[in-house]
Amino acid sequence: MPPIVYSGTGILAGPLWTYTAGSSSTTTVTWGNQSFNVIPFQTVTFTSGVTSSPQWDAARARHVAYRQRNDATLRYFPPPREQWQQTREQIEAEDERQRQAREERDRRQAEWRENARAARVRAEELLWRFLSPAQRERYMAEEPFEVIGSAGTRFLITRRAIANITVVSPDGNPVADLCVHPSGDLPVHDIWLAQKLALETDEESFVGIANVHRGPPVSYVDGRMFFPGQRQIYGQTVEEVEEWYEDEVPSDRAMITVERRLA
Amino acid sequence: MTSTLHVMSREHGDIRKEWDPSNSDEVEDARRTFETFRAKRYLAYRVDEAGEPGTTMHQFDESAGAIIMSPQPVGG
Repeated sequence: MPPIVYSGTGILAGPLWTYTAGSSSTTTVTWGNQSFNVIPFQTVTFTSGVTSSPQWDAARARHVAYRQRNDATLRYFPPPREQWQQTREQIEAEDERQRQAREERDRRQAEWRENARAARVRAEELLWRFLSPAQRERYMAEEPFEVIGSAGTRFLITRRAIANITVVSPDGNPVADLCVHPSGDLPVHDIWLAQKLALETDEESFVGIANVHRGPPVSYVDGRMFFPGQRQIYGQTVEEVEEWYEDEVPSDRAMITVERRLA
Repeated sequence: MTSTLHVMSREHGDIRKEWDPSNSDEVEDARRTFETFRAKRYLAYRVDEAGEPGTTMHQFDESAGAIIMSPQPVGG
């Protein structure tokens, strides 16, 4: 294979000329009076010695413009010395300003903590005032206090942070945890008192707003909370209901209706 | 006998307004507070005896022994 001879300088666009061999075979490159064997994929770079040509000058101008345009945006220019070199007075004034800001922040935090503490005390005092003796006893023991809802359901108001209302079934088992509270941010004792009052005055509406976090969905039948599987219907035992149906309903329909209601 | 209106609040625990039913200025002040918070959809409970279940109120009643107002409940 004859050597490839590169001897002209007019085609050069810069002082360097790079040649990368192909993949087929070794290539011989002649540069001036030198010859090189270039193996496949090898790159050789030649120095032309040419430092000035119209193409080279244009490329250099483009390169300089590029650096001027782009490097300026990346380079950090420090502010003038008079701006960053503070005098002792300035440093002391800044320290004083920061010290005063810290003191102001600490004072506000202390004031906020004191207000929050006072609000808690007042809220607890209010709750205490409107608890019944039995509820106070449970409260003092840090146990959930019981509230009888307006529909007769038993609830426990616990100290949990969420879903703190537990529904108690007629047989005394906790069956569901409800999460419902006054909107906004209130001291926790206010929340408990609001829950107690709402349950005692309009249980069904209050429970209707609640999210059930644990247990089955709660529902009301004829104004009383319905517990699946309960052995009482509307406050009466099954036997009482059956007896009532025997009196009021023709006998062939009585048991069917009772069974349907128990389902 | 002095009656008290308690409005639950974060900053104060509760805002208290006391009134003597025979003092019209105090009654009017308490009524204004009651109506202000009712307009904010607060619920009002009349509790005459401590520990006894209260009753829901929609209008201010100066004969109430104590009224407690709490923000509208929301599910959590």
